[in-house]
Amino acid sequence: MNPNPLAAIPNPFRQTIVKDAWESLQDVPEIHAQAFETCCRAFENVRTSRHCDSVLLHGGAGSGKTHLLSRLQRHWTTAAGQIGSGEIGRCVFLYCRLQTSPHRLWQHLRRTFVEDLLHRFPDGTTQLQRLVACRFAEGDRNKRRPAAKWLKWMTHPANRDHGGWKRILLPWLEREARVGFSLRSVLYHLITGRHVLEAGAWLKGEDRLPEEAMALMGISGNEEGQTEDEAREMVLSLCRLASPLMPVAFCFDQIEALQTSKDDEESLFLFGQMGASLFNSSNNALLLSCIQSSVLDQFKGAIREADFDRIAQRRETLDPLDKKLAHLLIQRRLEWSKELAPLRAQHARKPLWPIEAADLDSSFGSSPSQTARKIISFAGSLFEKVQTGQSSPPRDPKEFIGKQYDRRRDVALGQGEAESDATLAHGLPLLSETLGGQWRKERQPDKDIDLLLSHGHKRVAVSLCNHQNMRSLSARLKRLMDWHTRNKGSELVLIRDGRLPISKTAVVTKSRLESLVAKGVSLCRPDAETLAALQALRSLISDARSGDLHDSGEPIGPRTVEEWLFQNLDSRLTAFFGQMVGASETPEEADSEIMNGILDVLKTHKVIAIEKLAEEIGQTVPLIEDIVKRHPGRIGWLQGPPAVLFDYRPDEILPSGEGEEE
Amino acid sequence: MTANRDETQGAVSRILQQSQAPKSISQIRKELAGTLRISSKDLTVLLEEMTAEGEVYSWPQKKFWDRNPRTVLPDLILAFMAKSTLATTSNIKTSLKLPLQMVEIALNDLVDKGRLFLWHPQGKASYFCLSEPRKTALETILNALAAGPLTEKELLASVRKKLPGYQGMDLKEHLSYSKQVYEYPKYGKVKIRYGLQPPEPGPYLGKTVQDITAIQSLLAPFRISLETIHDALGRELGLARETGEPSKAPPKGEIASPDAEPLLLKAMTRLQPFGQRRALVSIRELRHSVGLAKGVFDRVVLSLALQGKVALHHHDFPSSLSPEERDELVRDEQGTYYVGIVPKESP
Repeated sequence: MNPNPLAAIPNPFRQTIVKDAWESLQDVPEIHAQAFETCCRAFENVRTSRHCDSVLLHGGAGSGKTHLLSRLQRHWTTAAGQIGSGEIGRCVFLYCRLQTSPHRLWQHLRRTFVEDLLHRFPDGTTQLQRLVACRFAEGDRNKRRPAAKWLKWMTHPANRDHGGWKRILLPWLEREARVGFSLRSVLYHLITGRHVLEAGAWLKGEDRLPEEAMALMGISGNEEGQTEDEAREMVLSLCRLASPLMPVAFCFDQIEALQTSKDDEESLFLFGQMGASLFNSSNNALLLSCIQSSVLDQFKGAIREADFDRIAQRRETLDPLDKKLAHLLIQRRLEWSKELAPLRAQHARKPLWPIEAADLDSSFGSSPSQTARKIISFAGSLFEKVQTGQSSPPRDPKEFIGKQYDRRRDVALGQGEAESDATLAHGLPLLSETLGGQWRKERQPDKDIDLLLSHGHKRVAVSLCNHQNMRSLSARLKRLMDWHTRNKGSELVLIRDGRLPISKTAVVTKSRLESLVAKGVSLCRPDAETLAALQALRSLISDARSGDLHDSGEPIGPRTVEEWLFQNLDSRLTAFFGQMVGASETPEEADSEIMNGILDVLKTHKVIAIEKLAEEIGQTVPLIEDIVKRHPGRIGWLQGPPAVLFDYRPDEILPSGEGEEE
Repeated sequence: MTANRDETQGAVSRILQQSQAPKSISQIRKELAGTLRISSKDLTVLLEEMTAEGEVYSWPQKKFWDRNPRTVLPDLILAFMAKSTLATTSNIKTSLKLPLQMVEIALNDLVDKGRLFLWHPQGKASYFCLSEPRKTALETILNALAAGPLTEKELLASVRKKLPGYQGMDLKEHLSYSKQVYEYPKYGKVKIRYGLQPPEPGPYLGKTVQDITAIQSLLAPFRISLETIHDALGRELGLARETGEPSKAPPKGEIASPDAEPLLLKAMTRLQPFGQRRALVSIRELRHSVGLAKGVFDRVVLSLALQGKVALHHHDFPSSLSPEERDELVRDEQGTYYVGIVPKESP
């Protein structure tokens, strides 16, 4: 028997998600050609009119929004996009995935901006160097030296210490970009390739730089720590480095990921404000914003009309593909497989071989169109069937989420302390929501309070104190002391990554911290595992919210993820949240009798309606509700109707075997 | 003075904390209780020291307050604007008694942050306002038109009460954003008017009515009644019924698909921003704007998609919606819910 020649060939439909617009992918330019044209027209408009322009891109989950951004990235940043033009790039391209706290949008944008400015192309040059080379070529009135030549000169190691740098670059930065001394010095280092790590960290707003590094760069630190206003100023300063001829293309992806819940409109509003501010404050920005079609009504309703107009000067739609485009997409994917080429050559009359066109069309059902991701996934399963002779077994979404969670947590375990702040700022509201949403998120009362949660009369103000620079930490603690004095009604909780030490020499910081703790302020020090679990939680929910979590083309919604998380939540996270909201005391310490009664019933019943439980222990439903809500890590709660309680105990305290039941 | 300095400093802090506005040195001195009262010179020195320590802030006109002018100024401006709704920089400066440059910086910042808006009437000084001028104009227009159709002149007069210097070209621009206002065409002596409902044919029939009346007078000797002329006119216009029963327009929502399709496509274009045929239209919004019965609307939408005239965008997680929200969407036979519609991308 001849073995199946296809069996050993890698499935060409395995990749269904474009994670990042910087990914270089095989492309089918016929798909979403009109949206691509619209974006290019907007881009040219910025260059010619010297005004900002914007495109709002709508599309369903898996319609190819990120893929389109990746196509634009290649078109605008690679030389292939401008053959014969002598250009080395036509814009500063930024890809900003909005998996962040809406209250730190500018800080997130600043970080992304810097990371992308320092993005290295295959020739070893960065976007920043290309930008400066282009600007120098622009300023060369005699056009003696084109951008490519400037770039070559700039990146040549022999010219690194050339005296011309200080004579040309620094005055140019001051004159053209109107940037301050520190930023000028840092950019000078980055462009000339000195102290790149330290300068990059400073530019991103990281506060971990030691005094020596600052001295090396000839700048001073900022004791205030990073604020939204400061980050905004930095973004706008960096925008000024570009010119209308070399615009900044801001690509905002996954706007929905900003939402902490389905009804959260504040985050959309804040995004609108940021977009409009970018639009108003520069003359060289192109804003491309991607949002899911299903959020259209909510987005329009949540943001101010004036902001919407600025973000959506042009609107484009990424339609699902009809059968003709679907065939083209599958054909191209098959053609790109080098391993398949010899076999396909024997079936020249069947462009989709080894897939039957009729089989592929069956994925459409009675619908005239289908999203690209679904078509690719379906073709993948058809290919697998041809390879193995068997259909793929049905998938269990819970098992899929479990694996995804584990994978993401393992990746997050490798993250450094620098990520903790962003993880906590974005993750804590999501964790609160996942735990049933009994703790309501309120408006931030102060710039030093990152999260304000309320439940009944109780208000818990959370301040993230993950500063690596002790001066910044000390300054924040001082402000928090004042805040705490003025706001006696709120409990204050400080959170600091357990891996971050407080330096022995930081006497003032220590004393301020001790003083706060003495006044009843709590200090939580989550460990690396807890933070990794929180990171996994936030990335899963964000991907689900923006339609990028899918199993074989079937998107998995945020509700499914939240339900899974609720039932399988890492005990560290529940304990951490309990500690944060002051519900980590043992049952003996508070409400002990009722709590013991509830736990007793749950030991027998595992899952029980709250009314029935109230009857059994002879207490009222509201009282039980109150106690359960104050102990989110102890008892599981499913909002009804009917509301149901279940035995929720972390795995490690369950007797062996019991933990496997579910 | 050293012994009492802390007490005096505390008293000064309290005075400034309780004050609703910056205070001058003499005002502060007057409020200091007898034993704490110090000379103007000493008080000036003390206030300068407190300013250097960041405990109080120096305000223009040699005044002091415990609030930072840069932080407080935006709120002061917003409070002023809440009373006056529309004001020039000069109005604001005069009212707050602060230097122009300082006020201008705060105003620019408020505009950047979207908390204030600028209204630039042609040939006049710019005004600051709390709500976006276009929104204010559109709201005023909609309120004015709620009572019935109006001419351009009448509309301009009502908007000018809220936005001084409002011109015809502003009206044209603002109306281009509105999806609720119809522009009634000019015809003979009938001027262009604006209304919230499609135009009534009555005003356009003035000349026709005169003609018919003249015809009726002409044919009266032959005992031709107005009803007979009306029937004849119906026949001439292709509206005559064989039964002779009066014709009935189909009730709203009962329009057959062939009639509903162009209606829907037209409504879709109307809901899109001008010149942006690729802007996704919300199914919910479209449904509300055409007022067809749910069954008819759903059928027509799905039929247009099958014909390849429109593309439909589905909702990935319809189970997250309430039954009422789902009901506003279009559902196909496979149970897919559609949230958006757009004319098909041209090849």
